[in-house]
Amino acid sequence: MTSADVNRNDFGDVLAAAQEGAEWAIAVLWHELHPRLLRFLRGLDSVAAEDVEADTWLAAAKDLATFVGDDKQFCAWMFTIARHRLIDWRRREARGRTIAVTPEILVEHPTDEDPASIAVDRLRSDAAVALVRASLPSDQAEVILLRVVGGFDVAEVAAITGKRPGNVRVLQHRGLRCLAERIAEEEPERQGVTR
Amino acid sequence: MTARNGFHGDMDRFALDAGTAERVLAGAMEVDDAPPPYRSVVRVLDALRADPDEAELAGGPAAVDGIASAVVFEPQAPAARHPRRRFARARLLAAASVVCCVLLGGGLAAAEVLPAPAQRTTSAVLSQVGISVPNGDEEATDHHDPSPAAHPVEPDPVAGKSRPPASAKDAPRAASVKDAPAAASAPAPGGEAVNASDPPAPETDPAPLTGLSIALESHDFGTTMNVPETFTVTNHGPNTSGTLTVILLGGDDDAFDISNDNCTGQTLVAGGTCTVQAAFDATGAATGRETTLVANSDNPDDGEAVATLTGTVPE
Repeated sequence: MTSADVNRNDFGDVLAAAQEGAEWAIAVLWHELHPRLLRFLRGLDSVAAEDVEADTWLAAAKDLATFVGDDKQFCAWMFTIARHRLIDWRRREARGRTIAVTPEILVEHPTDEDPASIAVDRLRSDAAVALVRASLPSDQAEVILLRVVGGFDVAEVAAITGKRPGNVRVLQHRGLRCLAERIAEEEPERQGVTR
Repeated sequence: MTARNGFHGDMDRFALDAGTAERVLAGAMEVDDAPPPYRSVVRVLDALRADPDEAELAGGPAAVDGIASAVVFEPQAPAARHPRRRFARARLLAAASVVCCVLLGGGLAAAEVLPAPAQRTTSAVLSQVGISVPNGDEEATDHHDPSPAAHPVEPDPVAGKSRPPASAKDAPRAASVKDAPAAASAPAPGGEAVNASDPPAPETDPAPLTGLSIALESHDFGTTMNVPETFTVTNHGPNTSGTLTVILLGGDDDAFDISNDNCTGQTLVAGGTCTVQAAFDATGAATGRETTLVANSDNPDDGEAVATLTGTVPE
């Protein structure tokens, strides 16, 4: 069964089976959400993404039996868990750094990502994720990724992030603008390389 | 304040109205239909939405095994709905899963031959039943035994980077950023489940107000047109603010007007206030409209304050 098969009518059946531990049903949910969760997390923290994503599924598995809701709500639930797990991961990482920590280590965005090296007209998803991560502040990246990768509307993003809809709109507007400016800044450099 | 904040500089080239922004984000705009500076942005967002490739789905079966095992291993999981049937089934499945997990996942994980995601998931699952296998990373981590509730309250590490100075009204909500979404995004049991697995640090001592605030935090004009409402911007910081800017931003910003702006271009001493009046002035379809009134300054320490404005065009 592919993600296209999970529509609102049969999500209830898939969820019920998954809550009983049926692997086919869990496979459907995993297939649908794993790539999106991973892109969301990689867009915020490339180092933590895979660990946090694995943690997210285990946390969800623990409470899956008590979940009640439709496919949209399940998706929001998973992204909320992922977001909380990333917060926890970063806290632990920050606490663990007690000695010999240079300011550079605490920079959220790795410096090895150069948007100028990315050809926007034939972009792969992983490169797009890297571009968002390298170009936007975390709060803007988070909102953009939830809107685009998560497929949530403003109200849903507001609920997931605990922000007000107005704040979400501001962040997404700035994020789009920032992304456009960053790409425009890099465009001459990219052209200079290729010509 | 820089052009990257979206307020000053290069406004003509990168101007983006709320409707276009919404269509870009919703994937409802073709590349060629987008404003020229945003065509590359549309391509980037399209790539973010692209179907997953094989590499992204690698390790699926093993990961699913691990997750399925975790579902039935969880002792508190089913209890309420069908206690007898679930208990019996859980025992059988738990036993089968232990054997399956150890023989298949454990064996593969111990040999570190699984794809990275599967290796991590399997490692995490087996660690819950006391079996230690490598998680695929060189360095051992303690990612699976957190105690977030014991963590001190600190700025949201996901969203905090670009908002160092929490605005006056955001500051007290700092903890709720992590508390609220669970209940809001998933119905009762689901929401509780998020909190149960990720209890964020409770805010017991709300942070004092700092930076700028706006009162009212929100205002619904209803169907009343062209009757201004007064919003008061206050500087809660210890020092004089930077030069203020107050604008309408996002959503249906063209449905509202700012009048009598006594703030923009001014500075506020510590504790000082200024006022802005805004009114609902919309035409067109009889639907609700919403935008935000944003106040900030050229000093990042002042943060920014946001008020939500709503109104409804009468039929």
